[in-house]
Amino acid sequence: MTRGLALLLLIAILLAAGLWQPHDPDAVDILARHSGPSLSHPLGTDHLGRDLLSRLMIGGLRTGTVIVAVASIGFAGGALFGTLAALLGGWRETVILRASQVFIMVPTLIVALTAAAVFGLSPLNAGIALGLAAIGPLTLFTHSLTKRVLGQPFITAAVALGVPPLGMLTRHLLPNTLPALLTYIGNQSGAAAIAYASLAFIGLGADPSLPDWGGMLFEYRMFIFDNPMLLIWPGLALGVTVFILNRMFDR
Amino acid sequence: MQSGLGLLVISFAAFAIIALMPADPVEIAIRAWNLAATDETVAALRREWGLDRPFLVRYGDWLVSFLQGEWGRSFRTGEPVFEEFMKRLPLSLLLGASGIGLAIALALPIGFVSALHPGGLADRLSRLLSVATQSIPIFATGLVLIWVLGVKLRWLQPFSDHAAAVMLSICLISLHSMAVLARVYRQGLQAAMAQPWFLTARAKGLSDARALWRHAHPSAFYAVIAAVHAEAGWVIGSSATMEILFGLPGISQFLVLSISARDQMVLQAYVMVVALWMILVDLLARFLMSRLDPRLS
Amino acid sequence: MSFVLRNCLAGVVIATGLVASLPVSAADQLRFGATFITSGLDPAKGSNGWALASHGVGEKLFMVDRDGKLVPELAQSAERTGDLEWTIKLKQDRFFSDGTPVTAAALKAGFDHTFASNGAALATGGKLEFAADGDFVLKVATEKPVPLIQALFAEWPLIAYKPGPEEGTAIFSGPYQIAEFKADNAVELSPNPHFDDADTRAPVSLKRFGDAQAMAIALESGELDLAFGLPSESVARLERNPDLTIKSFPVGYQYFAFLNTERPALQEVAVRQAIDLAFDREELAAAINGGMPATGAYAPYFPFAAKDARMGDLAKAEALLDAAGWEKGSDGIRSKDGKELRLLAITYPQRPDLVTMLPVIKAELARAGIALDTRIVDNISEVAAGGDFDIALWAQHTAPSGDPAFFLNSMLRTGASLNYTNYASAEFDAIIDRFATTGDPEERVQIALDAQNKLFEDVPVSFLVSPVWYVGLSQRMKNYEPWGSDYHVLRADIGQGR
Repeated sequence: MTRGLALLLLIAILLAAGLWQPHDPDAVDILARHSGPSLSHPLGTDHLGRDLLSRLMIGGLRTGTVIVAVASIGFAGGALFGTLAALLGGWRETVILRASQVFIMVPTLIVALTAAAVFGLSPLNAGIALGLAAIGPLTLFTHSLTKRVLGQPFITAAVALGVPPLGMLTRHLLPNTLPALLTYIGNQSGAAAIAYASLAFIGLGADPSLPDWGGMLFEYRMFIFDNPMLLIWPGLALGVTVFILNRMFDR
Repeated sequence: MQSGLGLLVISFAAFAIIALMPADPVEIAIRAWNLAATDETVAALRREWGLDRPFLVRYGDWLVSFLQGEWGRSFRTGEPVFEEFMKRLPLSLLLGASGIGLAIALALPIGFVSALHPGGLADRLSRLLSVATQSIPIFATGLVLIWVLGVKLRWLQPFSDHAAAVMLSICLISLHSMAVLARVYRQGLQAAMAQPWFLTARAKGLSDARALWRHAHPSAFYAVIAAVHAEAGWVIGSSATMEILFGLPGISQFLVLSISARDQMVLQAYVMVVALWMILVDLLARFLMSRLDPRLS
Repeated sequence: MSFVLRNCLAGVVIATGLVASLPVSAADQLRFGATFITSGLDPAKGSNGWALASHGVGEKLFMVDRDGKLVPELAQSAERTGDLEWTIKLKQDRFFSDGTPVTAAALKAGFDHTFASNGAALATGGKLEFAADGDFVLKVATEKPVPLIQALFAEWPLIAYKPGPEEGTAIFSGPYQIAEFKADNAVELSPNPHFDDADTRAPVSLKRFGDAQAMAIALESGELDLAFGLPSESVARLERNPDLTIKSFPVGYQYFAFLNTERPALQEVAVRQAIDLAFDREELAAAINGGMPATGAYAPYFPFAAKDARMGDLAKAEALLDAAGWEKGSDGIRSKDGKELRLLAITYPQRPDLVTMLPVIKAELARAGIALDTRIVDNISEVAAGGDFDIALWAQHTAPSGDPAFFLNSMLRTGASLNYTNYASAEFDAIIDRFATTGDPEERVQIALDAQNKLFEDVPVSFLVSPVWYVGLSQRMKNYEPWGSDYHVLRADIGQGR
């Protein structure tokens, strides 16, 4: 319950921060660069004199979008197909599994690169591409988990007792597969924002004018030794978010 | 057999996507190489690269020669793609395979101790690590590590010493994959511990650690293998980052250079190589899974 | 974390121990780092000719020395013998790295290969015909009249070489020769034994860094004797290190913005002029930690550079846009006929300064009511050639041959192969046509100034910053004097210590 509240609170904060910032996050003030915390700039300014807090705030919304895109696309697709395949069996199972195995072989890098080449690399495009790329592996992951639970004696017993399919799914199957699945998703969701920063590093190029936490880590990497706070703040913001997500699902 | 079919589907899909990418390699090359953009030059390049033939014919030709180890010539460097790949592949393979191997080897003990003492030091550390690896990109970890080891401590020379660069890369790659695997493993162990048969085993007088190892480990390890499967895709991204950070000439760095030239032969070969890597991981995972749980094979 | 680290470290330490115990063969080898190396060994392909000269492998007939003067390198002198004909005398004591003398016949074979396969070589004189007259006299016939053949032979595509036995290979005459080439990774150079004072030169390992930050760390960790093109952000930190010497030097490179004159909004001269006025060049120079506002197309130390720094004027920019009917909306962005004034700016990561400048430019244009989308692409010349951009931030050496004509001819003339702006002005072409008719330095200065004034007026390109670059040196290389931008990173005298 409190976990759900924490998640709602997180979403509310990200939304509010994305809609209003104390300064224009893109406004450059070269004379005030690398300034320390002050009343006007609580977290100081970056190498171009832009307000770090404002950039963090607007960046959170973009980062949140990426995380939600990756997690929901990947989770919805993967959990659905994986459970279906395991339950249906027969040729339908074979088709779903083969399709995911084909899907999984397309390198994430190629998916992201193609998306970047065609649509431009924005955090959201990257999130959708990464989410789509996650469906294949998650389907296989869910499928193998479900299969394993289905082989357990208590399922055989439930079948013998004549538990209806839906009750079977909700009462016996999901409670046994969801925890591992959610752990996996919770553990992977933040990775998307970071994957985006790494894609930028590889040379796809993040847009320095559309800050998101991952992109900020990339942009400020030049100051990792000289003004490390520029990296610590977005890293910390990302860390807290990931931590909440992990706690949500990790029992 | 099925993998073969999968490869075929992949190869066709990739060929189609790459051929349909917006920028035209001939146009790009003419400007990049300062060739005169006359109709003759364009036609000559199209002929040289085989782009003047219908799409299906090109695909068929490519497929036949690919199977014979003839992967075409790079548009950008003019060298045979197969040789360019073979020069760079061993390094990338070393990074990817060792990275994931080390990740599993480290994830198991950490996950095991975490499950044995939930909330204990190992559990909290592994959770912290899992959060950290998701909030700090691998290039930042890499830069700090290089700086600490190379500049502050002077223990090694990550740029002039090839072996050190490779070792560091492998450590970083595995560090970033390990956290997820350890959490999944711990999760699997915990789930098994809640089962009635586990309590029975405990009741029979087995110690926690022994009961966990004998009865919960197989199913938890099973979940790890499934997760490794999914992790194999991320590892490719990590090794690309490492190749650029350390200036290691592997296939991912080659890919990034080829992307902007729309070097179709290289892109196609890259998709195939990665697909083969995924199949390899898949076969290995399935082999391990069937050993663990023969009912599924 | 600590557990993992310890495991990793143990492995690493064991491995380095093993490596360190191997015998060290080239104890006095010099280790250089740069963010570029040649992409191949065929000097006629792409920009390999430039890179090979920069590596100290190839030479040209003439070169620009450290004072920006055009001086003979492999040639002794050049003389006009007709409208389109020149006679070039070669130095007689120069040898290729295989020990054979640099003869007219050998060079002719090399140049013929270059002109057959590299369009960039055609920029100034069209296709050149060569004939050997004896061993050391090279007769040259140009397609177009050339006022100054010395400058033409100092251009980077015209690297001098003898074609090698295999297709695509070449033999050069510079102080270094290539011992090993590892694509995308490193060039191993050894002294050319047939170049003067070969025994005073140590072999050099030139490593390519995909990331400039990594190169700075490599310098700090003592793994490099010379790091060329350090990121300016790390200079302050590196200067505090007593083992290192950091030198800055003005470069012939200029940072500017190409404006794609074929894009709808940028077809209007007023919009281009407003963009030019909206740039605050002082701010841009400060953002990259080094450099000064550009005066025009050339670095300020060249005689043909314009004299006054280009000044921004935000109020004037806004007035121009107002007059052109681009009205500011409530969000501060201008629009006309329901279309927003939203442009796409691109640049490339190989010159990190440009990436730093990109958001500054965005902020500056925003002040004038111009919205900017930005994109960083890995291979700018290919993307720019594709034409999908409004503004391209660019770094370019604008007078590499010590002469102003090449840049204007190759990048701004109507229909030129590298004219990414698609600028097409008969008036401008007429001005730079005058370059072809006079070899008088004074007159060429005037032509360059006229051409720049025309560019200031039409703004197919907006000149931004004349930067300085940084080179980091170990104790052993502390006498290295950087000059000539990145055209001569390695050369006969690099001031190496033992």
